[in-house]
Amino acid sequence: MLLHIAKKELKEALRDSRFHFMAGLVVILLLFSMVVSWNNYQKINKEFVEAATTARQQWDTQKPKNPHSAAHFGTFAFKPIQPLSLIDNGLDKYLGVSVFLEGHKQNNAEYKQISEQNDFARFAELTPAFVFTYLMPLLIILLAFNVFTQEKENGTLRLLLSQGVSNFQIGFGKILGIYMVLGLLLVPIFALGVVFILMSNYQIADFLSYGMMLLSLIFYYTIFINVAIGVSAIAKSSNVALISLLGFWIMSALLVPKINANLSKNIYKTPSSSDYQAEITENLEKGVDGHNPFSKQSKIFKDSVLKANKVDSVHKLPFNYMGLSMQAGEEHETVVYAKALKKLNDIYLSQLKVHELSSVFSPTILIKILSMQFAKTDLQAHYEFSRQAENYRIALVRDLNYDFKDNAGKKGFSYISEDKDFFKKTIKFEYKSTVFGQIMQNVSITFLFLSFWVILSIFFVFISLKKL
Amino acid sequence: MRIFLKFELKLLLRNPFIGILTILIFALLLFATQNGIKRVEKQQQTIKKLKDGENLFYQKSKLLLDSLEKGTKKPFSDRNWYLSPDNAITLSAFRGAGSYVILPPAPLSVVSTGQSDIFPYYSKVALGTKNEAKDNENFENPFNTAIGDFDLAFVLVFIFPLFIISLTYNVLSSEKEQGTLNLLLSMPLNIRSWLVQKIAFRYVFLMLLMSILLMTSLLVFGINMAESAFLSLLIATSLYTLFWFLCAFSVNLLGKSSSNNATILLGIWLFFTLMIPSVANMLAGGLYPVPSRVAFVTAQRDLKAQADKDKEKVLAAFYAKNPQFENKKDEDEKSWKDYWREGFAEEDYLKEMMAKLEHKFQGQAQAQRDFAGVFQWLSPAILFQNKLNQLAKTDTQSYLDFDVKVAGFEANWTNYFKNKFMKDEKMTTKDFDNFPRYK
Repeated sequence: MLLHIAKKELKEALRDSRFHFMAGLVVILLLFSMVVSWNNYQKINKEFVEAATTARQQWDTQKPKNPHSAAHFGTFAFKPIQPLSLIDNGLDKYLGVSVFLEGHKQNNAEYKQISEQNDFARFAELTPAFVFTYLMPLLIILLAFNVFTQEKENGTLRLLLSQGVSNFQIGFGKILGIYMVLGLLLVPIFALGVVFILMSNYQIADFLSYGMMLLSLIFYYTIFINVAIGVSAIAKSSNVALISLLGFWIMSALLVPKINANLSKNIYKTPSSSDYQAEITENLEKGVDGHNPFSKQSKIFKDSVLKANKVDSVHKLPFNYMGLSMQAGEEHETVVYAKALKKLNDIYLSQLKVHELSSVFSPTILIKILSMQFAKTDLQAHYEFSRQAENYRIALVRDLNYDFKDNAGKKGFSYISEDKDFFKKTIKFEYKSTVFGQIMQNVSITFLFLSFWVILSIFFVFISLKKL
Repeated sequence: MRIFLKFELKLLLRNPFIGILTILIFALLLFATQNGIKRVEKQQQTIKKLKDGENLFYQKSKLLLDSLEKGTKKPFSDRNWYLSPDNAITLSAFRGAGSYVILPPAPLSVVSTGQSDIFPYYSKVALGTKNEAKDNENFENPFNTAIGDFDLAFVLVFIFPLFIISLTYNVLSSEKEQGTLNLLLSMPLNIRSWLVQKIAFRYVFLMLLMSILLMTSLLVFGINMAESAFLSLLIATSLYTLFWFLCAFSVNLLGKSSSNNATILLGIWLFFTLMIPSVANMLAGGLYPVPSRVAFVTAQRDLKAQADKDKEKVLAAFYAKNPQFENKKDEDEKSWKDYWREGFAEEDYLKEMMAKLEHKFQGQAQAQRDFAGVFQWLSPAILFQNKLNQLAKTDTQSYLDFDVKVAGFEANWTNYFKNKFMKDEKMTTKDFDNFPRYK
């Protein structure tokens, strides 16, 4: 019986001209956005490979110079594009793509795409994630809002019930029918996603992430299907059902996320950029300044080094003191920058918590957070990149300073390594994106919230069907 | 006619749905205004802090210079030249020196966040640089920036049309569904003009209500409304509202059921607020792609390497042009002044090359913006949002103009101090009043 009802729903949907229009539109937009995403992916990936190679070449073939001058000359770390950004480009355009790595200083990633785009970019961007997250629920609402109200209005519901079919059989038959319609639309699209990932620079774990992304989407759609069917069962007229469901969509997709953008900022205040920099400057001054041997901290450090080596002047040390002192300064600076970055990131994480908690009113927020985490285009993926770039910077500058310390001797800043391939031999930057296990750990609570929503919506369907 | 108005008003006031929606809209307006105020206050606090810091630096320097001039303090040794306030470099280039150029929030900036969360609104100009402190990046959680602020513009552009739709979608269809349409048709009146009257009445009612709510929420927070910009805001809002009423009127005339009307109107809303912008954005990005910034970064680096290679040539030209300075070949003989002079010569050379590269880049970004600018006429929502940004002076153009002004001021600042330095003039306390100022 369940299957009969489901089939009837499917047939009706396939005959409905309104559905034809909406479904056609959604599929066209999805295909379109996937192709555009794919082009974009290829373009950015190509640019990334070229830039990374060129930057390394520039570093390798730089004019022979003192290792510390090379640290000032610096090099770049570029953020690679993730294969799953094909589906959800998340915060990519709001985040910088290149970090300048130099001695003494941690730089933020620069060149956010958004500041070079036209103003429309702030309204909406046509990506598969946009269609999946915002438009698909609307399609579900249009499919489901009148499944019961219409039967009520036509008087066919009584007929059906009088034939001995239970409320639940009808209800779940209809839910199954809607799943079938969605499956018909989405399975080919999801498969197309797999093809695109296969053509990209993928890792096996990306398929796991993609699978999880789709599973979250199915959960998300389940919520909307259940809510829509439930509302249709209790609503007096199609009119009321449609308006309430659209109201739910507006609240979930539009109002609550926006309200929370401000609430989270009000609760956990983001420091202004100038305050952030000022705090760093203040903390930097508390430690050794590698380039200022006259500061108080530098003198204390010098005395401790002299004492440890049992000599009374830096010239009698078995190594070049400047190299060591610059590295000491570097180590202090590193701690200051790492602390500042972590503090800021913790504020961002707290703000995200506010969004998650408010998901009681908005399942859309959850799918948004989940899908960009699976796509590795969220803030934490970016933090991970910044962290790795910083670790690389520290390691590179340390190697340079130690070469100075061990080999500069009395030449000091006019020392140049005899090894012509000196720079070529320095370590290379390789970004390792977050592993799947770590992502699963990060998303666990958000995913749990989404599952709660699914359970809640199932309860809702049960209760409304009972009242039918 | 009067009976009609009275009846309509009663109908609207008795509808509990409208009461609830009005309260909701008012609450949202208040929240949005408060958010705008918070944003502007944060900006003003930052501006004050920065300006205070700058003033403190110059007050201290002036005092120090004064005691040097009076001889109450010994002059600095040559090794500590960078601490001495009597040279142009110390007063213009580093260690706190430099002047903050600021784009203060406009009177109506509360209305729209616009692009203010992306573009910097201040910059520290110092000798040879537009952004000495690198402290003006917009710091906000990118997740929040991507979602966007809940500002007044959002309520007006996105929520308000929904309110209108909910008031008008069933003006005609409900009469049909209740069976009163036949009654109406049997009466001696033109159904079209009846519908026009009904919708016009609702339009006036809603515009009044909205203006009152908007003004109240601005009054609550003490925003000055005696601005001509505020009048423009009201006019723009009433035009935008009119557009949505016209949509509702046309859809009602189609004679479909209430739920069909609601679906169609919501479809129109989606089309204008989400579809057109997203498709236009995609087209603009596809047809006028901004060249890769990562490629730009490496190209910049190549230019630097080139400038490094040309160093000797550049310096030879510099010394030929300025025979009063001696070209010392031995690095050890060079004084700090020699280093700075040579630095200026190299910098000028590099800047010229960089400007060409930057120009090419900016040009393409501008082409994309221009193309998108044409598209705004396809959607009243975009047009209205852009208008609000302009009134709030938080539109892209305001920030681009600001950037140009910053560059202009940087040139003034650098010229002034560089001239002093090149002429080897000592700075005096009197010079402090003649420092270039940003207006």
